[in-house]
Amino acid sequence: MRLGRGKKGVGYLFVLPAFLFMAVFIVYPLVESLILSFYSWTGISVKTFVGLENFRNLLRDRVFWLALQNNLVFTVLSTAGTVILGFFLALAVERRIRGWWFYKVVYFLPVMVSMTVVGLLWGRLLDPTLGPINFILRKLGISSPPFWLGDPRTSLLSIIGVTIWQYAGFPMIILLAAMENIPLEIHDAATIDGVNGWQRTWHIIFPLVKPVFLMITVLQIIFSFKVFDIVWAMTQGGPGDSSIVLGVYLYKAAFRYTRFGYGAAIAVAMFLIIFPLSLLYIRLTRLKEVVEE
Amino acid sequence: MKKVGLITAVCLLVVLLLSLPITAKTTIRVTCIPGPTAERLQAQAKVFMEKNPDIDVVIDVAGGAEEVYKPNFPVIAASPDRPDMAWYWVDGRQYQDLVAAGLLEPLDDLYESEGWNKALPQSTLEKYTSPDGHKYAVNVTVVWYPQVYYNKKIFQEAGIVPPQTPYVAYASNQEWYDVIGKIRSAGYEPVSYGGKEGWIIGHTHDALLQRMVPQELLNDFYNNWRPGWEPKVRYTDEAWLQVDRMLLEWKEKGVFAEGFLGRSYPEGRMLFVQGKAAMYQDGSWGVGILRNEAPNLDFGWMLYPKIKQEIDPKFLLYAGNGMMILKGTKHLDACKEFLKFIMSKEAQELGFRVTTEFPSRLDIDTNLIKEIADPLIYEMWLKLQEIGSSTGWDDPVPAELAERSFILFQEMLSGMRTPESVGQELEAIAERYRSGKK
Repeated sequence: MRLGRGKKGVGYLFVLPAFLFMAVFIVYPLVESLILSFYSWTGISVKTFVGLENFRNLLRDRVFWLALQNNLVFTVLSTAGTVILGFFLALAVERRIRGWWFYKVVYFLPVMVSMTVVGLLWGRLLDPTLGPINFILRKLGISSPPFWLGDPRTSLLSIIGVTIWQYAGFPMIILLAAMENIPLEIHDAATIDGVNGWQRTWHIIFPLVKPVFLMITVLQIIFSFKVFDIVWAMTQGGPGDSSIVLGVYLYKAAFRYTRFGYGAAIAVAMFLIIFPLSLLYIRLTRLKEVVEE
Repeated sequence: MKKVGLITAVCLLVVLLLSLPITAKTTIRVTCIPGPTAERLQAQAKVFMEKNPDIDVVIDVAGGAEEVYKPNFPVIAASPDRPDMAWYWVDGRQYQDLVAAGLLEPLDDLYESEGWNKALPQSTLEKYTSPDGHKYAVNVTVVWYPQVYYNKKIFQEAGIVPPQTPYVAYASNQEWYDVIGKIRSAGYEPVSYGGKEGWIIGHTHDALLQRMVPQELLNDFYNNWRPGWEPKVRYTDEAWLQVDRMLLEWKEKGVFAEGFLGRSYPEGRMLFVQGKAAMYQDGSWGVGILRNEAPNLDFGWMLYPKIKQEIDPKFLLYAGNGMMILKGTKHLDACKEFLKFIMSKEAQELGFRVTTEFPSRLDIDTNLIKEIADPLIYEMWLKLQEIGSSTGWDDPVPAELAERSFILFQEMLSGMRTPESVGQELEAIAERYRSGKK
């Protein structure tokens, strides 16, 4: 339906506030960050143009590659954990297991709590001496339970575990909606054909929610890659740099080491990694709309 | 109708004029960190406002010290929203950037007129003199670190006698390890602190550095990052590496509480306050915090042990607690009046009564100190006069060098890195600063 000129103008007017918001709070900072990445700046002194030196240093920076590696580990494990667990939780609720309404609320509640609060709370729970987790483990006969956040071997895994606990409820809700949209006739036909639970899940439910599954996976990947709050609240990237991620390294470079230009270069690197994923997400949502039409 | 409107307008104007104060009040905004610093400034501001009713002093307290205020204040100071005055750390780090960016008012006139040149120690005057010869801040309180606070009941239970040496520290590393062993055998953790916040580990390292490296070489470590400096000693040399190895040895000998690398500053204190750790490392400011959090805890203090026989342990004095006036303030005279008051004997004594942060002036009455100081602070202060003090390494060096060292120490203590690679990384950063490629 083509709009007349007058109606087009009104349309632009409605879009204008959102456009201005994006221009001021997204486009402008993005452009400024990109420009800043070519400078050396302490945050308060005069900026010195250094060209590509920040990026050259980035490629040689051991901590940058370590942070990138940790980001990949975090992204893969937390995405797999939240989406797969979310799928099975949604399945359990959709199949109306006993107490399903209670589980639906309980699994979604942590999603609504701030990441920083969750990080601080779990920091106390995981205290090796005073925390209840190790207290229970000692009662179960484990005399030397892990140091969790105080051990470089378990610090990142602990953060991933907490993230899965907090965010499994989000894919659960999305996938639950998709599952509940499956026509009842299909389930009835399957029942008549004598399918068991596993066959129903794998051959009926999963194929029909697959587009949503893919979308939520890409979304979780994007969310996971830009993680900062929970890592900062739980370990600040430590012990040492064992749980450092790009968001934390960016913060430290800019605000702790007063190398704002270098921090901006890290931000640009993050953008270059996340942007293709965002394009993929947009492409998948367009595909979904085409399929539905 | 017009007449009524005119009369109403005139009446409103008269009411408005009458409601205006005869003299407009000046409001100055002062930012600072939370805790004893804020308490002290608030108490001083209250008395100042009583004496100066035409000046309002608003103390803006940040949400956190190391995590919030330290990294963010320099950016705020450069913004249109900057305060009139601020408390900030005067050391080799972000303060130098503030001075270089021309964001602070010089205070040379006050140093002269108020006699601060005589009232403050020479070392403080040198510390506060910037490369251009001017002073842009004034030291308001001094603290010292690291202290080791010990639970007297646990020590008694474990059959441990606190150190009896003149420097209030165990006379050797072996004696120290024996004490650690007795504490563990009694079922307690030895030294607890929040290693997640690397600066605390930095303080332990500073103490070991003072006990293992002669002062001449220490002075070189304080300065060998400066552009064009010819270093006598480098971070890859044995002088530095021996200290890193000692820190690692302490960890391996069980000096630190289990899991300390995963605890924050308050969580590290929690173990001590709850009676699960025999000792707790903090600065002199820790006395006030412990009195608040554990009023019934009977604790004493000591210094870390002597390591090398030829070097006596000393206190590490930190005189970086500075007050400054931001350039461009519209109330420069009022700010100077408040600063004069803060540095007056009256205000310094008041601040000391309110908190355990020690006054910076040398001419505070000793009897008064004895009267109002916490007994432990007074003991420490007397001992400091007796055995002397040095400077912590992470005080004068650039932010990046200090902050990076904290991460490297954490990695070393968690087995991810050797002392040699710590030295190499620090030397690479120092070399970058020396060559001017900051």
